[in-house]
Amino acid sequence: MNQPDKIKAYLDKVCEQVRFRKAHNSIRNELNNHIIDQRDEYIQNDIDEEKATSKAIKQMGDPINIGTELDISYRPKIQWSIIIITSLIIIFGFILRYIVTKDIGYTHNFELRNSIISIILGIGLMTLMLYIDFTAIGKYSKAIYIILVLLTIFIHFSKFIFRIWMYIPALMILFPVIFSGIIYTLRNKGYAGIIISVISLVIPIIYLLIITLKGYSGILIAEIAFMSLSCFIILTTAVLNKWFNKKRYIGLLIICISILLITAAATLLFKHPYLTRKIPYMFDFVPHKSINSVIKIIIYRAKLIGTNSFPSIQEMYNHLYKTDYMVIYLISKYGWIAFIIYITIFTGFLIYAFRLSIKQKSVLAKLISQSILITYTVQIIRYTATNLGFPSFIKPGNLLFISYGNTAFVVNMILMGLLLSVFRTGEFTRDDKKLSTKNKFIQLSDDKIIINLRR
Amino acid sequence: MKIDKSLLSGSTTMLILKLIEKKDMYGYQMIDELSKQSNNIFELKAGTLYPLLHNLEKRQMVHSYEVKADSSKVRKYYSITKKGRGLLKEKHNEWSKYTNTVKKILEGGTICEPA
Repeated sequence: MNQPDKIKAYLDKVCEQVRFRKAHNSIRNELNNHIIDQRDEYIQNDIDEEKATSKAIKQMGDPINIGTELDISYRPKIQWSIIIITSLIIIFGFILRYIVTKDIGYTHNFELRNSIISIILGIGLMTLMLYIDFTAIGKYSKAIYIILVLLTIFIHFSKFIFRIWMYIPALMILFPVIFSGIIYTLRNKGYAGIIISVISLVIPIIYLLIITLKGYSGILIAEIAFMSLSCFIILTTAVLNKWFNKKRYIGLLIICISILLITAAATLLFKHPYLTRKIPYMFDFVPHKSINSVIKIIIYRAKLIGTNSFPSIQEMYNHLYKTDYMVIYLISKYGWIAFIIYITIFTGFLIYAFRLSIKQKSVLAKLISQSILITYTVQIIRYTATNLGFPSFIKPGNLLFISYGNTAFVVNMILMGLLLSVFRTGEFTRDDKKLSTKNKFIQLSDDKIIINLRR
Repeated sequence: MKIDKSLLSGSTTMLILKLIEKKDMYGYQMIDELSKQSNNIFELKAGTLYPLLHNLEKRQMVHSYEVKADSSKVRKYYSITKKGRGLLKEKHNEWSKYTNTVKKILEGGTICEPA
């Protein structure tokens, strides 16, 4: 057996004991360097190469021993506490939906069956995402972005497929995470990176606005606005963390200008007479005028603990479109104590998860986990605030794992799986090295022409 | 003179952290340096060192980074973290207390408390 083969055989044995595959390259490299250094020292002491290699390998010790010891340091850990809290929220949501629909008089077993299917599907996808290598989002961010945009376009033009346009809001929940992947690819590119990130956000915004204006009730301006809000928050975090490698305040300035420009463009757009007529339907102004007076009454009259029987269930029936107003319903039926419990659980969950996210070592892990948590937070704040009556012209949207909306549920579960995957293996991941300007597609080096096909 | 290996094992973490306290090093360099500073009395094995280093990194006591040595070699260097410095200090105090106590028992006299 020649020398490199002997070393490789040794390293193979070590790596066999290390269950976490992604660590193998790094371990192999490090131990290989050591063996070679040791061998070279023996060679300097006049030992021939073959003997030196064998001696160096022997000096390392039992490969199974080293491998087993190294394996201990590379045990991915699953955050069970998050899984438990999530399960509690899902169960709670399920019970709450049941109570609400029973009280209102829905007797749709259809909903029950769909709920169960989506829970099972959600758990399955979450588990799948848990074992996926989340760094793929960083590596293939551009490809995923393009696929997502094309998918949205495909759905838009496939109107003939029953209710397929309803999937677009669900895909929009996924977008902030993809956006964080784009930011990751553009980091270290300075101000240009920030501007290109904004452009990559504006393209879907424009496209979604166009299809909304064409008369879809599947997407509302509110959904687009909140998706953009999540993305801008993520971008701001990236700038504040100096991941773009440039001065913070100029980066923030760029973001502010972008927001102003987009808002100005949107306002001018809506002033167009054709569009002004459409606005009430885009924001759902009309149906929600009366829900706000109902909400005001409930808030005024709700007890700390206990039911307040005015307004009656029948009055609320007209407005409790499926499960859009579950929080205010909770307050009405059980008092403010229910609201306090609700807020405590969700806030506790978010704070705990954000802390885990901040502790991540690599920029990619931080970006992805924070983008998911920001998406969740915006969902929760929007739902809670609109349930309490402000802003009055916006629909509550989806409440994480609780409100009815099977596609949104499944998508949120996918995000949860991704989040858990980041927490599981985040500490073992390293960011890609900075792309030096020398790594161009074609470069001249050592009298050779090198064509880089990677990246 | 060959020292009983078990005497070294308890203090290996402390010695490694001490080595990289002033200067970042890679694995082989640490073994070499330890050997030099101890006049070849302490011969640390790779099988002990690397699991220890990886474990310290997991506990965030050290931080690793890669440096290109020459055209093909990439070396993994280790640096001590703030947490690591705290651990070093703690282990050092523990060690001083231990050795003073042993000394007292062997030679009689009072125990000197560390300053």
